[in-house]
Amino acid sequence: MAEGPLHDTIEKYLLGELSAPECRRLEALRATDPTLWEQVELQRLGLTGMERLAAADLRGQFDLWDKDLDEPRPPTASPPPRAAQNFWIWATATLLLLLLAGTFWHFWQVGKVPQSQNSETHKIAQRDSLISAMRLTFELKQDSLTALMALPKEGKDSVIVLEIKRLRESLDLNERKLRDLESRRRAGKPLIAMQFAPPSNTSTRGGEEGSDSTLVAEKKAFDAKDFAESIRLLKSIPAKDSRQAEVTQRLPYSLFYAKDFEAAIPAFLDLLEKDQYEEANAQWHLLLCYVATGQALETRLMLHVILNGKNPKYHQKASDLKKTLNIR
Amino acid sequence: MTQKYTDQEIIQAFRAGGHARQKAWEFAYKDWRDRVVGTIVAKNGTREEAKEAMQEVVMVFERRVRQSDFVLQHRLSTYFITCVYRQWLKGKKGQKMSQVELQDSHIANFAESVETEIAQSDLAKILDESLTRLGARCKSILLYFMQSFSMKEIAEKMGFDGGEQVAKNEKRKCQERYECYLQEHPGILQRIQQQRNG
Repeated sequence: MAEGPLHDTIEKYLLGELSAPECRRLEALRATDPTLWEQVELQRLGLTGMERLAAADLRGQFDLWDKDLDEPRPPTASPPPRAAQNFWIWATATLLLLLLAGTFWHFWQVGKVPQSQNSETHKIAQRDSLISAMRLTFELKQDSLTALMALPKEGKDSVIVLEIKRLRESLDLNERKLRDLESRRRAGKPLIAMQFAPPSNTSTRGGEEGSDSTLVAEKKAFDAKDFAESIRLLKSIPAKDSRQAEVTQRLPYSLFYAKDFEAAIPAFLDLLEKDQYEEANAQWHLLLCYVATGQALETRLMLHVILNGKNPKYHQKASDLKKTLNIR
Repeated sequence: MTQKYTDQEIIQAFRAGGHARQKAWEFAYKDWRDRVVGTIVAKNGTREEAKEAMQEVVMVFERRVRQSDFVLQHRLSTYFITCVYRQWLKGKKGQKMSQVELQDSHIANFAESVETEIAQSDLAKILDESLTRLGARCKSILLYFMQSFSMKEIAEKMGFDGGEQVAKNEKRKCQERYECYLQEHPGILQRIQQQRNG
């Protein structure tokens, strides 16, 4: 059995805590001294056994944490209702402040556009500021409506009922206007995106074959270009199911080829986060989603990422896309 | 609520040991479990097999990550998942990961080095049997040591009046007793000598 200091030195060596010169010295000694060689190996085995002890303990913890993960959590308590007497004072003050801020922002946005710029840029800025102002009003009205709806039933007099009705109508109208403006703001190019998309076969995407019937059926649907069915099958897999790893791999591509680009974006971001092996494919499809939905800034950023990335798989295509989009 | 960690924070907590290590493992396990299990189930494995493979891998993985020469080039979870998957493949079918699966040589080398350090099943049996011969007190001291609690913390946990130095002596005594039990096993010395000659 090794003496104290030697025992400690060997232990540090085995735990990777010795400096490089000390390691070399010990290894040189070990090579020429059979007793030392045996002692090192014996201590190595001892540490392996002790690691097994610690691993068994950690496994016990894993089982406890499994319970945390798998047991449904109790619903969180809802916040206490606001004091009704102060509500109207706060609501009026907030309304005034937000309207003032919205108006100021609107004119500031309009004023920011220099006279020399062409009328198209001017229109876009005006539209953006209108959307922002309208969004503020919309949110404000939604807040007022929620607050009114939260009042106890017996406290609602006919004036409040009328106010609720008026706010609802106003909300519907504003929502329609907002959607219309937002859809006009984004000039998406889905045709260009699809023109640059790789063919929709299963070799494009990651994931494993497996024998699970849902996943096999999904693959068939995807190969047959029945993307709606592919999405339906993937979405039928429960959230906590272990097949979710496959859903992460497959769903973004199904959404993309189904041309649901808005929904495909978060799905590709999730894939990028979870699987580095799929990075190149996921980045390229994500870029095409940004092109299809007219997200100019994201398109530029993703083009930069792909063109400066280590994987050259999509470099040429990215350059071609950049030319097609006329991005300098 | 479990605290959130970045990969670097997990590594730092592993290096710090003790309670910090425990908390980091809680976060890492909860964050990585579904991906580890998902990877193995996707290959027709079971949840239980995934957990067995995880148990085999955890400590060697942690030790390798704690070493100062470990360079994080990918997500820490990717290293862990690859190690567990590789261990599962080895245990399940005696198979190795295919070249297609081993796209990154850095991760492949890391996983390979972890795999070679994991005790083979026959040896594991001897190691576990010899551990059962140690008393509960010794096992607790060695466990705290492997969980990287400081000698001061071990002394507090075990109620040693003499503090750090007593804990250190007790730990060494327990370790030496364990090594004696191992030496008494006929297969062990023979294996060590074979390794030396081989």
